[in-house]
Amino acid sequence: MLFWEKSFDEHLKQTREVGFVDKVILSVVEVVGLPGAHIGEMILFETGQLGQVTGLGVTAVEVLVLSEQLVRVGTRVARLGQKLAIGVGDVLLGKAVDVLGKPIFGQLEGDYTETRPIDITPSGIGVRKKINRRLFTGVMLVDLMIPIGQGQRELVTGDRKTGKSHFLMQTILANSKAGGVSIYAAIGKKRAEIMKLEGFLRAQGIMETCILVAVSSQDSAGEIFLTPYTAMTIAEYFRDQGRDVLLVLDDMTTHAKFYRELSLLLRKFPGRDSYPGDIFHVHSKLIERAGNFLVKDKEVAITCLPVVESIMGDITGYVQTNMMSMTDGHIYFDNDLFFRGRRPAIDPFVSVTRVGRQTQTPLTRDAGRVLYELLNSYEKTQSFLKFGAELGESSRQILAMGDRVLAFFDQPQYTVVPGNVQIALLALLLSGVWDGKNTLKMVEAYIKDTGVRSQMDDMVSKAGAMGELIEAVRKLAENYLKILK
Amino acid sequence: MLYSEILSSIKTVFDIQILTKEIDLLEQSLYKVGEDAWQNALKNKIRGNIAKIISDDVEWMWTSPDAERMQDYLRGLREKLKQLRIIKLVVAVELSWRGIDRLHDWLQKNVGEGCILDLEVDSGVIGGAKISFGGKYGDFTVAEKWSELFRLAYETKE
Repeated sequence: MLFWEKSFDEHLKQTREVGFVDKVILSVVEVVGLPGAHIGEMILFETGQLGQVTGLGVTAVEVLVLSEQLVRVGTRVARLGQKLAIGVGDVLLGKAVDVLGKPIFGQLEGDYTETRPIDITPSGIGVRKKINRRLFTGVMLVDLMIPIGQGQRELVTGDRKTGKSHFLMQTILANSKAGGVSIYAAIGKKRAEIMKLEGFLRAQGIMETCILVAVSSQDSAGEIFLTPYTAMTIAEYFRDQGRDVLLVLDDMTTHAKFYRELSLLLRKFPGRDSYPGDIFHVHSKLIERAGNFLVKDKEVAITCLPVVESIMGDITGYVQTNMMSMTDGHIYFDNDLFFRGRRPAIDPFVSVTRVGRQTQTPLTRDAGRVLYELLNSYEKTQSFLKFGAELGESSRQILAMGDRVLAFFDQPQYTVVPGNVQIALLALLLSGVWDGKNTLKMVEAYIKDTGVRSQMDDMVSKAGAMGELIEAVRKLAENYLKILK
Repeated sequence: MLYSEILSSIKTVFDIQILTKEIDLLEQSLYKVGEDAWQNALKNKIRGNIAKIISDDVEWMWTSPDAERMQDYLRGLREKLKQLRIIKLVVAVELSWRGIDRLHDWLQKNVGEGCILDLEVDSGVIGGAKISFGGKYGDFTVAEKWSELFRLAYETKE
């Protein structure tokens, strides 16, 4: 029986303990009584609000209120005798839920399968496996140069309005098309943004494989704080059902800010930038719950993409560097690149993937290496232009090729480019016969024409290195160029 | 002992509320213009029995009035009131003063000094009481017993 199915009096009779609200400080209240309360335990107020015990004192218990509704002094409080737990199940698919797992719109078509506590110790090393499967985001720049593996924790960082959310949506789209479950945790977002997000998922027809855990900025600080925990708990349920999960936490800087607010209200000693001393532990304990696991002799992964916002391109901030150290790499969205018109505005030289390359085939690894060398030379040659120096033929060729590669990486919003198409088109580009434009036409042909698809798949699977693939593509260049016109 | 007489007259939370208001009036009177402001407050605005007890406790105020010392006295009284332990009772009918006195005396003997009652009337309990004290809760109402009995009877019938 879920806790909200019992009345307040029933909980009182069960635990035989009662408390009274003595002090109210915004989202935190002090309760006198409840001698048997323990940290993390759920609390029910007489007026129906839920809370969580965050501190124990000699005379009072500190409770975090999980409701925007005000609590009055003198309100009776009952213990629920259990840590904060939510109902999970397949019924959550296709739904937007709040921090307690209850649907925001409408009702669930069925019952929860089980209840799970939202704050648990991450799994040990015994059940974890090495990351060896690719996660295709459908974004060419990322898949070719900053590959992500299933089970990887890859930070997405950059200034506001640099295209991070678009990238995340694209990744969710690609993951849903590949059959994975996608969970998006909207942490303290505006209500309009949450509605827009839900509208996008429904418009793309992928809502049935997605779950939106949404808590708006108008909700209480306690609810905002617990949002990523709820999302992770739901992800763990689907992992245990044998399904790969993509979990997006958008965004962790907001989460850190609200945790700071709560900690200051609870009079915890402020540390750097007034954040509490355990901010690293709070985030790392959460992020560690993602990974590649062995579940009933099958490898299943929770791939986590936490988002962190930077200000004026500064990624040396406290929360930013914390998150970078606890994740397996980061994708950096550059302001300058965004204003120059690059979409996605990802800087491949600042971005890092620590475990993504081990999931690549020798061909794709070679492709990534070639791209890095090319773009590196391009950047260096570009810098000479500032001096107005005359360039030789080889430099001009590098610049021309670099421009084509950048045009190739410019990808329209919400378009997913399959992996084999990416590598085949890259080979076509590097062969020098194509200018890097109209990529979508090839994607369409790949999806609709089985002949093109099987030919491309066959060609890519046989090639062991970029050189071989370029040779193979040259033979089919005429056909491909017809498609790309 | 200072305050003991006043505290022994406090039996319910309602008594505390009245006494707290009286303490506020006395405090305000200390800073009003006019030498006998606080004396007027004591005579006309405070209950007779409480006024007499306070008057005896602060007899130095009649000879050499000292507002700060009076303030300390009242502050001390407030602190003592905060230390009183409250037993919350939800009962079916309103208790008479005699009933409250008897309950209070029983509490003083069996639970300890410094306990007062916070009474709430709820006819739904039918009889008995719901008791909340020191964070503990107990439902000893007739309504609860009846619902238990009916539940047992229903289960037995099935």
